[in-house]
Amino acid sequence: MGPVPKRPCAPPAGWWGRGGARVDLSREFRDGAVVVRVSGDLDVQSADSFRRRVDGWMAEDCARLVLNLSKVTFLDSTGLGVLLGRIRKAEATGCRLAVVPPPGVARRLLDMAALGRAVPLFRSERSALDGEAQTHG
Amino acid sequence: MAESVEADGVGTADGNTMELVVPSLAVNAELCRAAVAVFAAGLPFTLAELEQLKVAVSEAVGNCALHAYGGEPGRVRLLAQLAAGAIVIEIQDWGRGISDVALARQPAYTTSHDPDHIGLGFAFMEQFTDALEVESAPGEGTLVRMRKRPSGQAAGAAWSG
Repeated sequence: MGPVPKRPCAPPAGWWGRGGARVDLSREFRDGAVVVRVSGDLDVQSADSFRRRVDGWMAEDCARLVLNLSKVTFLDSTGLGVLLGRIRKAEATGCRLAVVPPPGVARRLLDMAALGRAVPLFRSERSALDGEAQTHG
Repeated sequence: MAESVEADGVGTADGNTMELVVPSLAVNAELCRAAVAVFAAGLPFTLAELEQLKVAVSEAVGNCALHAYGGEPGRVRLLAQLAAGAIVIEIQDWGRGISDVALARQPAYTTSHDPDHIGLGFAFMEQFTDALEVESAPGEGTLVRMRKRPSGQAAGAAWSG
């Protein structure tokens, strides 16, 4: 495997394990639903803070939730995992969940996990609120 | 490791190499994938292909951050090379290693107890690159090697190797 590189690259004390949050979340109450808009990278770095905040909001009000991922710029398996976890949680708590998927490769990850079978996908926040015009699947 | 530092000549990216050593932290998944995306742009990848490379790199570095060192400080080395019209990426750690690589590469396999860890990291590395090799030994660490070649569909792909 070769030796461990001997470069001095230790970060400041206390920095290990500290996760940043490169994902922005906002919540709005609209047409009797909670709309959560997600923008930025939902990945191994930000997944925990995403999970904590969305779970907090779901605990407060979870009759109907629209998860708008249209501004998600990057998704990895850790981000996908917490998305699937929130879908399971919505099912378990009787929350009606709808998802507006992200574009590009992030959308492909959702399709590889067959997310559309677990939750209705909509092409826009408006159509999700109206409960019509599923994208597919 | 980085003997061939010199590029082949002015105006070509072939032969270019990059080495990055970072702490094994989740924040560095973003650093590594961004570095690889810029580096890989020396080949005529489409934007979608660069995005796919970013996912693959993020999965490998994320694995190091989540699993390799069991929460202890550790190091990750990213090595990338443009050679013969393809990119080769190596991501190495000196952590716990994987006892059964074939099992770890199975989709949905995970050693994590977190129900949100879905075990698709290796599946995505495999899906979004042309070739994936994993070398690992318990207590010695893990080396992930990925190779990807541009599909040739990039608009204005002028570089011809």
